[in-house]
Amino acid sequence: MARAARKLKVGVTGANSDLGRLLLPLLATDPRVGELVVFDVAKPEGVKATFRRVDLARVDTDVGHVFEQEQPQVVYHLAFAGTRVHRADIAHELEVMGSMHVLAAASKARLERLVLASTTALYGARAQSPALLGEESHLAGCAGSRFINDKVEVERQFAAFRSANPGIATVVLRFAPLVGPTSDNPVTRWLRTAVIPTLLGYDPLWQALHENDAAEALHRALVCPAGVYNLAADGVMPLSGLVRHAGGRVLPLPAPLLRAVASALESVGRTSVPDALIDYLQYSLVADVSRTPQALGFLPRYTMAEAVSSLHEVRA
Amino acid sequence: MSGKGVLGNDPFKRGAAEPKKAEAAQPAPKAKQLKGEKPMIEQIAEKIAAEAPPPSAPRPRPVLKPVAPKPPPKPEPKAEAKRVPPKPPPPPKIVVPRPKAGDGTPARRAVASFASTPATTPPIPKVTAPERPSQKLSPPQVAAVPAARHIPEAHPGSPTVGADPIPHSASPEARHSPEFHPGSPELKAAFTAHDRSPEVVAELGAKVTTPHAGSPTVVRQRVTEAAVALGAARDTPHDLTRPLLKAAAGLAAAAKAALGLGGGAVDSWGKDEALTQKLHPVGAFLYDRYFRVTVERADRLPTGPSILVANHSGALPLDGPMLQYAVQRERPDLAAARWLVEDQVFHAPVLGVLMNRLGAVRAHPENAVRLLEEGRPVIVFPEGFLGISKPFTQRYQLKRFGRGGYVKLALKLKVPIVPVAIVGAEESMPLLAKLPGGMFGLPYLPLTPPPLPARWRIRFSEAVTVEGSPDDLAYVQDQNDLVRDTIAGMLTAMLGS
Repeated sequence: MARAARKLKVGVTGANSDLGRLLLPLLATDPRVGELVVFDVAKPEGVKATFRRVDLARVDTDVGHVFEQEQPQVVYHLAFAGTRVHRADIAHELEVMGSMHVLAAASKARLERLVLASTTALYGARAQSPALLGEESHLAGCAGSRFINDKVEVERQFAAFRSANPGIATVVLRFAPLVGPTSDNPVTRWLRTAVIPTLLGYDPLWQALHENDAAEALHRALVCPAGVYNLAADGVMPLSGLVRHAGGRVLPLPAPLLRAVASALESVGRTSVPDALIDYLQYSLVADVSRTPQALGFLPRYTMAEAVSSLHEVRA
Repeated sequence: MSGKGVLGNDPFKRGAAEPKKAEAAQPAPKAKQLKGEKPMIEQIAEKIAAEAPPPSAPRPRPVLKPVAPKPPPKPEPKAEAKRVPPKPPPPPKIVVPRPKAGDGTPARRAVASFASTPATTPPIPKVTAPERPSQKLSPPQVAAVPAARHIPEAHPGSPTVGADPIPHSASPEARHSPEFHPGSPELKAAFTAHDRSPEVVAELGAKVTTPHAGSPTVVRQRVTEAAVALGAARDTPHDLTRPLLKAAAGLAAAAKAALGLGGGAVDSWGKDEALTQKLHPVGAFLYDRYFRVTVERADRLPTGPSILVANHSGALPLDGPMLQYAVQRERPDLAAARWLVEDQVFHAPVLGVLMNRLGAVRAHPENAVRLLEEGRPVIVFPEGFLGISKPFTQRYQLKRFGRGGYVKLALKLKVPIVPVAIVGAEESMPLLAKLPGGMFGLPYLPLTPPPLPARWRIRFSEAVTVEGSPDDLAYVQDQNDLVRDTIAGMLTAMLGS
């Protein structure tokens, strides 16, 4: 009874990210949450929360100091570059160094729980992978893509943190590519183009997850058992089906031509798939989500087809 | 002409092994049609009787007029005969006028798409097969082909297409007469005539609409004639065109999927059930009539999960899908089997995607465990890529059986191993040479004729139950050799007989 009455103080880094925007209202209306603290460079609009300015990308970031002052019980770490930043060094500072600061601060401030939003893309699309990738699978990343590999590095830090701090419950949620009307990430921007070059003769399997389901899962992570969980909408689609549901058309090109087109489009500033990510157009990447529903106590509400179709909502 | 009449040539003749299936799959022979006359007549008579009361509905159409110009007031049978410009004997008559309307496009299109698919897909081989029959039609059938052309027009998108291999199983009228096509006065006349008295029929050309039961004898005679005529019209062209169209559609869908344009729904393994269904006519044709697969001792397959270990052969990895299909056909009581494919095939462009959509799974221990835990028979080819890359001169000589991964799996999951021998793939697709294939992402490009119509045999051996520790390498190796020897023995026996 006493436990139920206790109100949690919850902190969120990267509150202005796609996931942060969706998660904050859920936490703000949750009766278990007593106080909401936002650690970010800008104050998010429309949510009642304490704002503490923290810039994780700076060398002299004072996140440790702020954590100690605020003493949150739970922290959501969502401060990641949602898009591929052309200044890769800045992204690296934010993601790898920033996470390092957050972890150091977390262990110092004696948090009860730390939640990380990650992605299944970290498993890498590889020829050697089994058809379903469980949470224990090796995070192979993607050779040549800093966007992916920086996040793999963050997960490594988290794994080390977990073994060093058994008293702090860490939850890592690996989401399938997020789609939805408000999401803006490399995958949604790519899927919103009308004609999508793909690899001729290949049609790998993909998963996706609706942004609202991802936010809901993060919300559930407030109390779920510690661990690593994959999460994806129900269903698997070949890339061609994914594109079709998103309202686009595939343009299969032979590999050398595709690489040329990709780099040409990239150099003129049109979104496309960079060279390094072509693996994801060639090999399937399907995560095993079988143990997640029980741990989180919920099933994604959107099927994959519904999730991907929701991209239309902004298209029009 | 024998019962195999439609396709008429040897390679397609079904062996004695499964006469029943062969019958079912083949268009009903003409001779049979005549034999089966009686029931059909009765059906037609019934239909007519049923239709007689409200005959006004379809009649108002003035269609009959233009084409049936001079109905001479003669006895009925002849009147009918004359209505059509007399060309061949009665049966074709009814059909002949049609070609003009149909203009032959659907059938032609079908053939065209058959011809075009090969360039893009691996199933190409299959393609050549269906094409042949149409080219080798015997004269009478060729004469009837025009009629076939318009049929698809008459039933655009009919979902029942090809669903009834034996034509006279269903009432022909149901399919033909009522909505056969607005533009076929002749046929219509033939049917509407039944419920009229002689005089009325004589005036048919003048668009008489009086309903009349007609005298029983006249009706009966009419029905007989119509039935014969219909039978002829419906017989070969009908049965040939529909499966051809279906097969063409299936191959086109397969080609699309293989190139990465498919977009269909798949299960978590990547199998596209809808595509599999669409390709079913092609698979059935290959299985029943082209390779004339004979399956021996399928009853030895245990219920529940099992590991089927087979020899790998032929330049193209067609033995996987054929064995999967054989298991599905012979043992529908088992869960759907899947076959494991070596990386060289699974990651080959086009071919790999197609195989995956049809049920292939990448050979990986974790995948095998999951498949077995789903209760499925899992087909493995321990020879791997070496099995399909050996030249024709080494046909049916087993390569090494890998590291015995399947034995360890059987030990760990306590599932039985079933050795399987497949004969026929080597002769169907002899590997004549290896061309450089690096630019296509392949280890080599196999030089092989399009699959030849060799007869295939699949023999199942007694299931082997292994017991012990998966870590006992010596035991694993022993069991591995045992299975290999069993398969080699079966191959020798089958090749010798």
